[in-house]
Amino acid sequence: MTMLLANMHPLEVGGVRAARSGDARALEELLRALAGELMPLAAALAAGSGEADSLVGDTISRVYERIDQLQEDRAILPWARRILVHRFLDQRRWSLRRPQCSIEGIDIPAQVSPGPEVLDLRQAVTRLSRQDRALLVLHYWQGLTIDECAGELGVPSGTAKSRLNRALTRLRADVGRDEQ
Amino acid sequence: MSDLEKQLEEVFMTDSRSRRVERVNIAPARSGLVGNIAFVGAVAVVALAAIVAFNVMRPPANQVASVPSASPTATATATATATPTATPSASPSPTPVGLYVNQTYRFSVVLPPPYRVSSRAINGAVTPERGQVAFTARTEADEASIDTSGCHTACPLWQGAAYVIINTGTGAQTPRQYYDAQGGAVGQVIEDTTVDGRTAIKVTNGVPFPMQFIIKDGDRIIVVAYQIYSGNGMEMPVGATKEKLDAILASFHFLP
Repeated sequence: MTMLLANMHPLEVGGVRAARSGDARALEELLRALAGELMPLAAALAAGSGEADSLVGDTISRVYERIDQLQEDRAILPWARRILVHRFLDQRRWSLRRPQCSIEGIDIPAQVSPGPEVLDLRQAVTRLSRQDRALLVLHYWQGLTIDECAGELGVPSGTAKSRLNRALTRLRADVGRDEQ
Repeated sequence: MSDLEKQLEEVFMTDSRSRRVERVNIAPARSGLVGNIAFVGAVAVVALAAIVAFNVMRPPANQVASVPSASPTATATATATATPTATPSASPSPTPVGLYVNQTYRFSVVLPPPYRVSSRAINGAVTPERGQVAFTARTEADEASIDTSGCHTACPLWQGAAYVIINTGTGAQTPRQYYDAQGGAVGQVIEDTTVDGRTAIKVTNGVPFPMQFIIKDGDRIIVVAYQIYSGNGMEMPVGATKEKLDAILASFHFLP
């Protein structure tokens, strides 16, 4: 099995299947690959608060514990992303438990320093509720439609739409812009 | 797309590139046998917890059920009652757990030994609008031996106790508004969160508790908290730890 995995990406169906069938090395490679894939989303959600490592660690632990429940091997990444978003929203759960997997991340300096306007906006984003922040990240960074965001967050589409509008209005007010 | 929306993309793009995974530390892989035993143990604990929950739902309404752990490999934490798919733990835990179900206020918590319900560690007024349930690690005799006369602040009885405080008739008041009305503390951290799908805030190092969740539940505001006094030489009761108190808070759930 290990030889077969040599030329296979850990997140491909074969890799996932091997991990689920008990191949310890495949499982380890899968978890490492997932951590790498999830970190950008966690970092965007965390908005520089320093909780990205813990969030990814907790998500990976969850995947590790529940991989037997994954219904479709090819859906591992969306499944893990959904776990991460929900852990971010329900911070109580992951902040109080000891994860079986932990992540050590490193800071990557921005190649071009963002201007003051962007920094103001970033500050304003951190003042939004976690629900609103998750919605903005999923919509504007992950590129999900409003309906898809609503599905990810488990709220009706109308709710997601009004929340998005409210969040944008608040951001405009916070950074002192009247544009529509 | 407006300028604001374009800049949002830029913000998230920058943040998403700000960290990279350096190392992933993974616990030793589960062996099939151990995993199976753990899973069977966890299922057994879930079944026992369900039986106990069913029994305690009958009057008298509020009581603690001691649930013996069915297997030394199963850690019956909040997941045993909260999630039908309880996850087996690799770490042995022969410790029995107590599922406490309160039908009056419609919540449950899991009490690690030696925690139990206390009628003496009540902290603050109990009124028809403000119910309170306290959990202590002290024995009844230990509690009774502490002189509480004249103690109104930082009482030894409250050290290491956990609380569920139920405020009714709160109307449209939000958890933040509720907390703001208590005052505040230097160094407090307030975070938005959800508890069982309900809007909540988590307040760390606030007042009057070092850790509390304030949850909006319809017309009610529920505070789930614990008290640890530090720096005044007050010792924790025997068997009380911050980890157990955290576990109690994490196990809190609303009854369906």
